[in-house]
Amino acid sequence: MSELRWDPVLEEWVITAKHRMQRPVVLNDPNICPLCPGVLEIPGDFNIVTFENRFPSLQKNAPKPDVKGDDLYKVRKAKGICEVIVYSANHDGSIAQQSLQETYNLVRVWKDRYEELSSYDFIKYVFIFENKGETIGSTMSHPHGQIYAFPFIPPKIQKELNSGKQYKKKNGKCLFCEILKKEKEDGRRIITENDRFTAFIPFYAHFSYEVHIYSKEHLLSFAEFDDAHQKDFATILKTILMKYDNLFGFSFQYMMLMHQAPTDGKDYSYYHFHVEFYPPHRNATKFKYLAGSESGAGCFINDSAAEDKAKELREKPPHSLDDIIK
Amino acid sequence: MENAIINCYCETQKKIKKLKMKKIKKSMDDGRYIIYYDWSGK
Repeated sequence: MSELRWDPVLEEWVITAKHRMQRPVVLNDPNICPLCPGVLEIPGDFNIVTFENRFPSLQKNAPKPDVKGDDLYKVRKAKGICEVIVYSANHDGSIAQQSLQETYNLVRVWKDRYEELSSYDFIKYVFIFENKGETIGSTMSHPHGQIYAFPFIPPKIQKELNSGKQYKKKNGKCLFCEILKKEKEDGRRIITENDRFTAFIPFYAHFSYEVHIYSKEHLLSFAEFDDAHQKDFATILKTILMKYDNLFGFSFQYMMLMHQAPTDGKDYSYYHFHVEFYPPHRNATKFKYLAGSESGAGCFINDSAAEDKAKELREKPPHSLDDIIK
Repeated sequence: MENAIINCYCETQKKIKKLKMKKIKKSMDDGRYIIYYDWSGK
């Protein structure tokens, strides 16, 4: 049904999960939404709920691979955990539309999930993310996110770890702290900040509205967040998502990706907690697609300058804490 | 640069309540787990 197949050319695992072809495409119909209370997945009412995905790419009790591997074509069980986190019982909504209190509650759940899932010895990386919008390929519009608890460190994270490790070795400093320092010195790409977090579109953005949120302190993961971090993180997260919605006057589509230290027990003191958003919008009606250059050569073409797009977002409300309190 | 700093630590702390988090884990018929997080009983 599923297995990990090794790509010896790119040197990365591919998850083969044939059963995911059966996933339902249910959009904008509260009568048949599987994430609404009592419909399919979640018996009874709830505030925030998390459950194992019915169509998981990775499973705790992973089946034996369908195919036999060898030295060149390695094969492993797709062992891991895939969870769905439902942010609210309310079918219509998003983090941007929830109260700040609800967003803070969600941050506490993310922290709890990171800590619990990282305690399994077969989990090497806990990846918390959200796919929002049809263009992203989200099959359900009910506000929700996902967690993939991987049995390996995913390639993009590994690449960041390698860069961070090499930079630290060469310069004796955290690469991500240096990026944050440089962005603050320049200022043109900063969107908003509070005491513990800064949001900006990086100099090297791949997508037009690619916001990154960095912790100001050198933190590695949610595990190091105290209550004040959780509150400030909820505040800056909601601020960015409201700005996204105010950009063109509709609920913005995005991928929200939380980059944290791996959970395999090794030293990753050179890494740095941050969140990356990849919105497909180039403007109100045009999308960025990962076409030939991006998909085939791995070279992104960004049709806009980060300085201009950061200014657009900076100028959109909210501008004060009162604007985001409901 | 305008509108960069939107709040301070003190304001945020006052506006958000740290309620006691309840976590209830259950098993579903097909063996999957489900965890309910609740903040009622404030």
